[in-house]
Amino acid sequence: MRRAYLLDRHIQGRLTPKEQAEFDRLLETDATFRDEVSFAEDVQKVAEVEADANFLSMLKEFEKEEPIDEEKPVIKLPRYRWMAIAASFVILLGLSIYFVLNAETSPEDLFAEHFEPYRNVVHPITRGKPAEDEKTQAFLAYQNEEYDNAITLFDKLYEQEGQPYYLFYKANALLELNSNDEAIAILQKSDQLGEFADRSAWYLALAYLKVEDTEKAKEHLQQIVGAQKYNHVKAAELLQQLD
Amino acid sequence: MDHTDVKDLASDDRLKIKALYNSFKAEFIGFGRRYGLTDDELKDVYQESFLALRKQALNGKLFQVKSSLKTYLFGIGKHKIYDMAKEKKLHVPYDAMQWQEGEEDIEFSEPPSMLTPQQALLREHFNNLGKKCQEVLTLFYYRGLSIAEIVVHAGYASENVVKAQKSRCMKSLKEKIRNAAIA
Repeated sequence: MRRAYLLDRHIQGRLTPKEQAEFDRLLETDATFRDEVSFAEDVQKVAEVEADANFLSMLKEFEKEEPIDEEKPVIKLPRYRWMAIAASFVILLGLSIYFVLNAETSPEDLFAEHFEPYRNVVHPITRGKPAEDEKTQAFLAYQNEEYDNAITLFDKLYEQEGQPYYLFYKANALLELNSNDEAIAILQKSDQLGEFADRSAWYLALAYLKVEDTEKAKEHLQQIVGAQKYNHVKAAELLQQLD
Repeated sequence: MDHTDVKDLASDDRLKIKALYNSFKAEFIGFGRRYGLTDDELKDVYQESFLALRKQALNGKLFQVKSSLKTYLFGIGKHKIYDMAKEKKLHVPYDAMQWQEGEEDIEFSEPPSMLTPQQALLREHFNNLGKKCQEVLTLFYYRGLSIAEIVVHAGYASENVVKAQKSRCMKSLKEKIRNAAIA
């Protein structure tokens, strides 16, 4: 099967110049061969994307196995230094309690303090290039804070491609537009958010803060801290502010 | 560059990869903090950079690089940190992003461009294949291993077994697509 041989050599980038000429001729004249080539190239692409995704999720597992904690050098200090440090902590603690008790921070303020729409990591955009396809237009709109426009495009793309991340970014855009209930409805279904399921918990907690449902916000923050999910350190800080 | 490290990185040995991953992480994050990114963001950048490094190891390019693995990884990371800082409109001093000696030959592939709707559908069916099928197709189509290499890598009995397996898997994938189109 000469055709199969040529196709395999093409996929693996091993065609000799002579074989390449033969391959090109077939490609031009034979529609079935063209389909075969295009299918094999699709498999190649999908296998790459899948292998990358698997590798990244393995790296994420490493993070869960060993939470990131930089090695801190151990410095030996004389005892009086320790006492001085301890004393300053006591003063600092006292001051913090004083300020926390006297400050009235509303849940919505806390939302504003912590919320930042999740950056576009899905579709890197090269500046200066015209936005040719809808996906680029969608993420460009998102980055340029044109959230209405972005949502319309995310909806359309989600319908066409079914990629879960469109939902996640839509939820972020909705929060920016104050369509909180709609955002919450999306973020609650974390099992549909694919690789962003982990991050969605943080945004769900923030969304509850925004609608001033502090109890639900706390519940989700506690889960984030417990499971060491995305932003668990910030979640712990936020919990302290809420208590 | 230390060839043992590159081989480890290109292997499927989870423990070795994990050891490499952890050996540069803390320093990388410490390095990235001066550009105003949060630790969580830097963790993402580190993972993306580490993936880019792994891909270079897989396609054999790392064997030709003269600088150390760490210098190369940090070089990739710098580009990515710079992009993210720019995207977040953070100020990055020009001289802070000066490349060090040995970094000039850094090239890394961007993440593959997005899947077409057809490829997205294919991906779903690919995921529904058995593990053996996924493995053989990945090794052949993405990693570019020859049939003989796959025999050794995945422990098959002979080249004929690999060939048969590969064509069976491709056939099954085509059928799944066809059935989905009819349904």
